Amino acid sequence: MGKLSETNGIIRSAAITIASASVLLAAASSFAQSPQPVSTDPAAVAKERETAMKSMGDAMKKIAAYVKNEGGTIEGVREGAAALQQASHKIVPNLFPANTGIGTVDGSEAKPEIWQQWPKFEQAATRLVTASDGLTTAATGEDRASIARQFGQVGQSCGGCHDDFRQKKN
Amino acid sequence: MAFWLSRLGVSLALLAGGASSSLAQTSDQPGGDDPVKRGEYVFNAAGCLGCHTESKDAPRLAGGRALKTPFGTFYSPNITPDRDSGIGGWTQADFNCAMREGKAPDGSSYFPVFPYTAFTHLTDQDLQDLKAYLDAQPAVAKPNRPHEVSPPFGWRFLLPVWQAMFLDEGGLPPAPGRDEKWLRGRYLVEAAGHCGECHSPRNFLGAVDHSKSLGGSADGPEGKPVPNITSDQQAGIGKWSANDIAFMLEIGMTPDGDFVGGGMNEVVSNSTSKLTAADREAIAAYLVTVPPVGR
Repeated sequence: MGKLSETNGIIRSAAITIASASVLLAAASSFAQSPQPVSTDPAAVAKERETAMKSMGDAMKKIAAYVKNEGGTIEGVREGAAALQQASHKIVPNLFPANTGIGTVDGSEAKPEIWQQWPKFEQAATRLVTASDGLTTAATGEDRASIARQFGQVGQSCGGCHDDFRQKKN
Repeated sequence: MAFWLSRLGVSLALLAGGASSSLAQTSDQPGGDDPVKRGEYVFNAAGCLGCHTESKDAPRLAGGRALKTPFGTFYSPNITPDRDSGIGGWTQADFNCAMREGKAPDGSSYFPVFPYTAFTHLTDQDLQDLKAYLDAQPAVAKPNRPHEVSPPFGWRFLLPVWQAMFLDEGGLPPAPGRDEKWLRGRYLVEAAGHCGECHSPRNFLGAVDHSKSLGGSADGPEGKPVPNITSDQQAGIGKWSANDIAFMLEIGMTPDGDFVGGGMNEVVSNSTSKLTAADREAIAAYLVTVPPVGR
């Protein structure tokens, strides 16, 4: 059993490396593209944004369950990390075109500061990109501590951005 | 990073069943025998840094942060040991008087934007330690900026009246039947953490409405809404477990995977993430018992 699972393990980690490399590649190529809002309709953009944020929240939930040792699995972490990475790379180029925030779109939580302080926003979003890239890399292994450390980095980038740029509806 | 790891170490140890017993209100304070270390812990629990530092790049604790309220804009004062612009010349009695009675050494009253209605419940020991810590910080010469408050709220001579109406000095009331953990949690929430300053609604004179304690506020800092954190199932956080609350206080994640913002992320990074796991659990143990306040 030892031999077989070892081989399995190697195949698996190779597959993961390839998978994450292709995700990185896809992300890099999407970076190379010119910024393209997901839609020209502000409401549709806001909706897409909400979906992306929700998917990131779901991913964090999955990863937290593993980090806290509350029934999460390493597969869940890998799925979650991939989802985070994909969504994070869309934030700046696709998800926040001008005039799609509070005051323009009903129910939006995106503060005007996003566009008033765009370089600062971009920096905050880049922090998430870096952190979720790091999480994806950490998730190729099964070291709970290093996954937790990267998870913490992602969490800090989420909260940091929400502190300055989101206004909850309540 | 190492910081996060050590924090994780604490929580994992806890999940493995290594939770230490909760701390008493005045003894066994984290920091051991060193008053400055103990004071640092009180300083973090009370979240002094955020309001008393103008921005992330500004000199630490030298004041100047603008706090916009419905009554006007207040600028926090310098609390470094600088003798001219800070609080370097203060005695322990001066310090206690400011924290508990809302009065400056010259006898003038502070505006209640400084949460002395909460700090008034702090123990003697914590106030002593806190002063020891502040005294050990670098002095910064930075004069205080005057507040921009419109009449009649800007009339400082009316403040003693306000204080007579709304300042209940002394320790927190006895709570028969509650255990040490709950008492510690209440102390952290109601005295040190002054959570109600943002999370409770205020009356038209700007005093916290204790009948709706922690029931959320329509106009918190910057005039923005602040969530209800009572045990109300719908309007509050009644569906959260004590573990959910403790984890949020540690890293800022809510049970649905969202991360708090709107100032609360700052509270997590400056204050609650720096508490011991036992203290975060104590806060959670108290919060789950806060009577529900509907909307």
